[in-house]
Amino acid sequence: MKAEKLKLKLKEIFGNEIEFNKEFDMYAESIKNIGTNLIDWCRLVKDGKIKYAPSIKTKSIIFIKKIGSSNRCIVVKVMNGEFKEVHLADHTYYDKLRKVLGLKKDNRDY
Amino acid sequence: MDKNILKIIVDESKRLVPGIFTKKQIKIIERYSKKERLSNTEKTYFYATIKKKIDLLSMFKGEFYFYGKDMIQERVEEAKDILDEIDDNAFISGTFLFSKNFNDVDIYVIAKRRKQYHQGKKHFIFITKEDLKKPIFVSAAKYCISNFFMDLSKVEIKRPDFNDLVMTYELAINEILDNDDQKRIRDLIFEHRIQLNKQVLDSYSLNKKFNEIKKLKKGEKIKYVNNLAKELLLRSYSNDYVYNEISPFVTRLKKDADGYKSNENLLIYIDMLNEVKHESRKAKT
Repeated sequence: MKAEKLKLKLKEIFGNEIEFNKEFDMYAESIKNIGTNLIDWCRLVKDGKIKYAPSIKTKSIIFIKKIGSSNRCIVVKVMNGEFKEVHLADHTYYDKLRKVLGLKKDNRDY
Repeated sequence: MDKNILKIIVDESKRLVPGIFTKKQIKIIERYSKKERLSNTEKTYFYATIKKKIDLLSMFKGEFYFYGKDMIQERVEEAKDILDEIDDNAFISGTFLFSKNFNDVDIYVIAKRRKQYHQGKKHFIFITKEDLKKPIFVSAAKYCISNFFMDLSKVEIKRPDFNDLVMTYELAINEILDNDDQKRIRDLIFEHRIQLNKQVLDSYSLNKKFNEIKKLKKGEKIKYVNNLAKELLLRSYSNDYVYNEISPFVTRLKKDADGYKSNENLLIYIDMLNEVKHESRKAKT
């Protein structure tokens, strides 16, 4: 599925205010069957059927889905009940994003 | 004189006495390696007799160092071939050495800067010398084949970040409920052993323990993970801190659980965190 078409579908689910990360288009076009996968999962998120892990530090709700062995991931950020952002990228991006969102400390300290 | 060979002789003294060295000779080697002052008689004895044996042993010293046991022999040979092609200090660790199924070969190379990349099945991880004090790399190095001697006695143990710990616990529970890869359980076992026993599990022992737990029934796994998290939270932070951090979080979780359909995980968190909250309150009074 083309990235633009996929974004439209996701806007239908989460509303027009939803924003996407820069790398979204590239990954949307390169991951096989990502369209159906992502849309189905986002519908479940919207319907409150996906578990999330709340953070003590941030009041946003973050939904995370891993895709395949190469650890590409989708992250959906929800604030005050509104769906704000959808991120689609690889594991490195996922690690950085978790730090930005306050879900993880820098692993260099580990 | 090669310090590594001296250390090996001292460490393996039980196997070398009385066949190669006498007890007295081992004591002198130990004192020499610790740079302790030797008497003139001891010096003469060391250079005239003991050193000759050490030099001879150095000739037989292998090109590789083995840390850990029960490695798959074919993989050991493959690992040696890979290490032969690397000029820098390096070691190979991970499931490749002990498990029939593996995703890739983890090759750690000591370098000035950190970086990593894949080359087919080979996963190159460049770490610094200082990194070899961090538990995550010590764990890998404690079960490996290397082309250099590693002193793994200096481990930097840090208390985990409270938020990271709670998040790891939550994800572990979610992974159990979703029957996912459940690797977060492994992270918790590792951290628990470090914080409570001051022990870094080698990658083989950690994997073995993780697989044991993974085989348990869902309810038993949740109970096990709850216990690990509870002990970690209560033993790693002060009772005041734990109580003050957890109380508002539990209140928030209860609200979230009321209005959310898929709240099975939230209810488990609430139960565990409530227990921690009560125990920290009891300990405070």
